[in-house]
Amino acid sequence: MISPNRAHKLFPFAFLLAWRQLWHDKVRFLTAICGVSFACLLVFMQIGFKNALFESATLLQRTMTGDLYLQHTQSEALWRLVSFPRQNLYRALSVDGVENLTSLYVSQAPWKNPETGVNRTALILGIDPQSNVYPLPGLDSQRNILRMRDTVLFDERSRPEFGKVVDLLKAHKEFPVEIGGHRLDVVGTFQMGITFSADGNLLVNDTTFFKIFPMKSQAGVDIGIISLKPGADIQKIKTEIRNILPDDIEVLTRSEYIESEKAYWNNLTPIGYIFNFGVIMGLFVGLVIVYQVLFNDIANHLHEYATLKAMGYNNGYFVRVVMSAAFILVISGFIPGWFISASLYKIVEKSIFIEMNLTFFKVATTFSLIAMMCFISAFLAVRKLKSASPVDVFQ
Amino acid sequence: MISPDKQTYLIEADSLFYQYGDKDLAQLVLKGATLDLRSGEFVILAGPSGSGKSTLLSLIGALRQCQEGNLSIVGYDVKGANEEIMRTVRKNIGYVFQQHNLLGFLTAVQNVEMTLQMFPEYSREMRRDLSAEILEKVGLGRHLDYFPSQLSVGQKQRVAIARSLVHRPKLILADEPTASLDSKTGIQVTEILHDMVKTLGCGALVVTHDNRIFSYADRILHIEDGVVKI
Ligand SMILES: Nc1ncnc2c1ncn2[C@@H]1O[C@H](COP(=O)(O)OP(=O)(O)O)[C@@H](O)[C@H]1O
Ligand SMILES: [Mg+2]
Repeated sequence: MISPNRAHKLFPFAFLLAWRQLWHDKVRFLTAICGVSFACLLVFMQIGFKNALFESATLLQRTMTGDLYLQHTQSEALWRLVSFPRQNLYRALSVDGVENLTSLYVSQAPWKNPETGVNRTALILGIDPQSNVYPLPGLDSQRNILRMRDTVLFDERSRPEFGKVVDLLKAHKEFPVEIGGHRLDVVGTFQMGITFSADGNLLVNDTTFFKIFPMKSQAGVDIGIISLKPGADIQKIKTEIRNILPDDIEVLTRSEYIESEKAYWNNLTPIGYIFNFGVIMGLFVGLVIVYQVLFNDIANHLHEYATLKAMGYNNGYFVRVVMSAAFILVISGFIPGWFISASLYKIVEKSIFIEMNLTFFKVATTFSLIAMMCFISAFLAVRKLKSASPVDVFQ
Repeated sequence: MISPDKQTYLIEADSLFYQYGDKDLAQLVLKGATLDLRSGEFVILAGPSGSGKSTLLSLIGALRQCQEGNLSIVGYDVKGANEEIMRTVRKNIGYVFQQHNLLGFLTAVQNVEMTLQMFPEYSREMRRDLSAEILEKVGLGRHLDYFPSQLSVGQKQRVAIARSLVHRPKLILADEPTASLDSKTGIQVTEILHDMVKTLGCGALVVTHDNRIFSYADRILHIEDGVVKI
């Protein structure tokens, strides 16, 4: 008689049987491990890329320290901004709790590589050099140079196609470049990182910005950044500002602003979809491989399992055997998949200059997905156990 | 061991009827099969192919519910018995088949241990010792750690016999245990099965149409068209 208590005691036996079964055919075991590791790798890489791209897409947003952000409702993303009248930004000053405002101007223009003469699109940020909402490394010490006309600060983390700017600066202290047909002087560097919007970034003061883009109206602002007094109620002030502004301007908190940039790349481009699809493909391939292994383990042993059932083993015992096998595959496939992914993350980081962090969250997510994949395979395979019927052992 | 004068009935089958399928497709296979078997007996059940031998064994083995007639196995009335009783009965039976049905990824001794794992009263050491001991008795003391693929057909069948006997069942049911063996090995295996049954004092019902092993039987029963004749 098998009581629940007995069933519990049979578990280590089921696990041992699963292990012996997998271990006996090492080639097949290795194939299964490779299948799980491969799925693991795909999931890690896909969520890594997706995450890195979304993180890099919001690099500037995550750097800026403003509490509230104003932009035109037709603005979709950093590289697709529609300006709104400057006086609307100034109206926010009348609201209690607002400490100060600043305007950000953003556009793109070709940067001519000073060595090769090849053009490369750069994201150009026009800022007020005195504003403290941009804590970009390197900017602080150069605010005064940036205030001068026709000066440019270059993002050291821009792609190498922009030229050996750092070396040139060391040699010449400053040097001329052509940006959108205008001659400007590179006077220093700062650090930000590349985004979806461009392969390189430049900082200029607002006056220089309008010199590069004479078509842009000086009465317009691309993004209005509002800093509040310490301890101010952000939601309350947001509503108040909202109420005094026309409907075609939206007011966003810092996190809403970051999310809106992410949402743009996620929804209006197929990027999110492509990476999710990659994850699903990886899991599907893994599922098929694991299912094949588990299913064949049962299908090839129907007589033996039927015999054991006749002897007194119940179906639950074999379910535990299959689940144990799935568990062994999860662990033995996940660990190598994890290690390989960790080194691939480093390689990718070096070759495409996008930050890839193997965070606990990614490890946990991947592990959950892989475990789900293996156990779904197991649940599908377990149905085959019904074919092992003790009634048929005598023929 | 049970003394001869106190021999108990291991099988009491009275007028068993069994039919496969129902209505138009129904096929009546057992038509009033009656037999009994006491401990210590080695009984052979012979009969032509399709006469219902395996069907009868599956009823006696508590693998199938009986339909008509009375059936008592190792002291349990199995007619209409629930799954729990059926499984208890089955744990008192050792099964031997035409095929050895050993797990290919387990060694000889591990295969035999599978039987003992179902019983909590055996410790790890006991399981190993009892399994090794019984394998020695069937002449495989030197092959404990061999995988089935490393053994001959006859040796595999002997492992299967050891597996069916290691927990000292009261009853052995064997369905054509020599069918996949050549005649010399068949006789060897039957001899081993016979000796084990006699030393352990259990009962055995062996289905066969291999008349070279008839000489081992205490009694020979013939089944023809679903009816058992003495
Ligand atoms: N599961 C089954 N379903 C339907 N008919 C069966 C089944 N098993 C056996 N039979 C039929 O029952 C008859 C007796 O079979 P069986 O008991 O296996 O005979 P034996 O073992 O003596 O050869 C045969 O005619 C066979 O075709
Ligand atoms: Mg048969």
